[in-house]
Amino acid sequence: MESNNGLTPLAKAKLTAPYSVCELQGEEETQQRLAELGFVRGACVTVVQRVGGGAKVRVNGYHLALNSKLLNMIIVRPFVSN
Amino acid sequence: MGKSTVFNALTGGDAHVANYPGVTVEVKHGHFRAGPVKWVVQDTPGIYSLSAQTEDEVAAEAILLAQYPNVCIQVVDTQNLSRDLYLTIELMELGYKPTLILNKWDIAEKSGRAPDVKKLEETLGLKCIPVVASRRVSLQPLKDYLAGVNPDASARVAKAQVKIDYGRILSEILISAERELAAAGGVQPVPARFAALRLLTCGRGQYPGRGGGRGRIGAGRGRGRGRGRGLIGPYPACGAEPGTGWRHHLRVRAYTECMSQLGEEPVVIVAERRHAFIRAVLQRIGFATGSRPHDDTVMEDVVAGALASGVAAAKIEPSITSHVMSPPVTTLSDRLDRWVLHPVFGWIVFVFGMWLVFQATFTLGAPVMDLIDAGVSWLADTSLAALAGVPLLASLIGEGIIPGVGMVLVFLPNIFILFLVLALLEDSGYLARGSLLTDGVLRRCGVSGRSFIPMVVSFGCNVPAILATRTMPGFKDRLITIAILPLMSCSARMPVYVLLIGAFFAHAWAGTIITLMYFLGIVVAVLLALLLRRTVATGEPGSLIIELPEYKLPRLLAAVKSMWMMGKHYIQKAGTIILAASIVIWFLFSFPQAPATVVANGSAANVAVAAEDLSAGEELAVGDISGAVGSTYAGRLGKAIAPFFAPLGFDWRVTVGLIGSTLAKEIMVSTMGVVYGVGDEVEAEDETLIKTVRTSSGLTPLTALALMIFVLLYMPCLATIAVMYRELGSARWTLAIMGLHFGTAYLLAFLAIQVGRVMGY
Repeated sequence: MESNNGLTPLAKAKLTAPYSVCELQGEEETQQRLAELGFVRGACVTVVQRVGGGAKVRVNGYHLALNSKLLNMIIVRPFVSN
Repeated sequence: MGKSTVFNALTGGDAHVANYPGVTVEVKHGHFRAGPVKWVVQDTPGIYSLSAQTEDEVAAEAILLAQYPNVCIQVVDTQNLSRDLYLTIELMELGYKPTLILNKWDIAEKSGRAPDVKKLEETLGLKCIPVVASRRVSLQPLKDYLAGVNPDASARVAKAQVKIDYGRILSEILISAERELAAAGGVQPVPARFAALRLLTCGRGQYPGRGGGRGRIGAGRGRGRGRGRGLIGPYPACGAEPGTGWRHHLRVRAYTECMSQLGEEPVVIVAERRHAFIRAVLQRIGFATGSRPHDDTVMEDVVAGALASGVAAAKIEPSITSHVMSPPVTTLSDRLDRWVLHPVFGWIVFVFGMWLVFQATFTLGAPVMDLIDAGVSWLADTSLAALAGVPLLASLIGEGIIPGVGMVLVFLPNIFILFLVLALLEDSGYLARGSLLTDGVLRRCGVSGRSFIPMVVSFGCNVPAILATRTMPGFKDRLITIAILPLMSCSARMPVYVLLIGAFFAHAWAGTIITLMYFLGIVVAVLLALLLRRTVATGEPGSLIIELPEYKLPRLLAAVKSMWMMGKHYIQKAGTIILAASIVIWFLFSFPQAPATVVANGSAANVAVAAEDLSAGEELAVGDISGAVGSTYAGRLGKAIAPFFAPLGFDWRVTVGLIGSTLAKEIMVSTMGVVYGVGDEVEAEDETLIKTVRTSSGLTPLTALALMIFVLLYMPCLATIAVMYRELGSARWTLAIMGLHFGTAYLLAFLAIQVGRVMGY
């Protein structure tokens, strides 16, 4: 499921596991909104629950509802604490 | 957010809504007095950042850019400082020194997430006031602070209040941009850095600008396209159109250099650097942020840059390596969501919940409705008696204005209960979940979960539903949603169903037929949305980004206030459009005046029908009263248009009702009351009217069904059309939508007739 370097879209992330944001894709406007809300490189994100194609996601200490297209735009890798 | 709570506590609920010039979004104004000074408080729509993508965000931004308030208050969720400080940073870059209200302080303190206020104030150089959100908000500290504010001072200056380091690459381009902007002149009221940032990050145009392109579909979204909103006030350098010289070159340069060297778009880099700055600030005040950058080479540079810039002379230690990852906590809301957002159980909760909402609306409302109805009848009778000496005036007031306006007021309990329940649901956090739960299904229907809340509101009244679309980004999504909202059967259509079902169908069928009407509206809405998605508003529905707040017990007082804000449109409607319509309808039905004999016979007919002596008096008497109405302007108009509706089985009398109900659907019932001569203060359950309609309307159960279908779909009421036009900013789209509705209504009613005939009805 996870490609090289462990990079994966948030859509395919394991439930409740912490990931860190690596890259945003898609339209500039959407990227901007996501980045402003806290989806910046290195931020810790967790998929709390899947709902249909979308999901309830925790980022920056709060919860957001995102649809599947957005989940595919957020590229993450497993969060490694050091 | 708690912004409204703070606003209400500050102004004591003394708020009035004003349309901000140039934007359609309503901005609340209120007053409060501190010592000798009377303060005006403005409540802007809620925003997370200054990069507006929706109509209400544009309004908030326009206010912040155009005005120079004495105090700028930002209500911040103390538990979500890292998110909310983002706007603070932008405000400071714009030259503001916002006063931060640290809301929900008690909750944050309990969970150990409350910052050191003194340190936060020192670090940001801003006044910070902790506030307890539970129960009544005590704003004494804020009021005390405001009492000391110099009323001549401005909370905004032309100099940035913070200097974020955007990294070497972006900084160089920003400096060039500042230089070019200064040379071009006209950026004076806004800090140069802010203007430069806007130039590099705000030039897209997904949403058609108000200036020229508003109401037009498919404005380009190419890089370097100007937003062209024509925002009011000193709004510099953002009209960067493609190919307009240095502006375009700077944008392209920023984009290519950021992409090639940092691998991200300028907008993302800017957000990243601001977040890094916020992290540094929060670490400085000993606040764990729960996330850390992994790309140390870039991020060390970011934080070091932010530190070097120095905020309010505070020294921030780069404690970047000692990070603590927040443990994956499962909150009570998470546990509740396992059920509420469950693929099967979630839908059961949803359907049951919606059923409960409508059940409450109609059963709880009934006694109050009866009371208002009785009051209106009494008032009409009393005024008729009191003005007996002046027949024309008595008729105008007692038969025109009071019953006409009263007809609408009768539905106030329904409307208000529905809005109260919706406000409670919203406050509890459920409606946001509804958007997520229904997103998948709605997406297949051509809209997104963002349309969910407007659609639910629309079952109460289409007007506030259309207003609720202001929070939707993207013109196409808004257009489709606004086009389908009037197809949701609003509460004003109910009396028409009740009257016709009572006249033509067995009582046992009432519930089923009404439910079918609601379903038909939804099905047509889906088909229309799909049609628009395939033709004029092509593409995918916009993305869903909605905050899912923690569940909480809804506050009744706040819900009542919100109910009032939404429901007052309905009262305004009664006081304006309905009032005017009542007078017009009264005139159309009263002139030219019928000969006296006919009127006398008409009265006799009333008595005869009311006495249920249908066999004897009905034929002649109803014929006479119809004759009386038939000679009036309304009757002539109805007769002229009637041939058009003949294929649907509606005669001229029904046509007159249809004309009346374009003003407001409820008018159908009162107009039919006049046409069939049982007086115009009738209600849908009126036995006399039901009998008269059944025996002498020329309708059959089949044509009655066709009429219900037609009334459901044919045209939104006048108030809805007005709001639709205002929100879309386009007469062309408004007319196109109305045409689609009318065509669909005619077609479906005609089909119903044909199918029914084939089936032998």
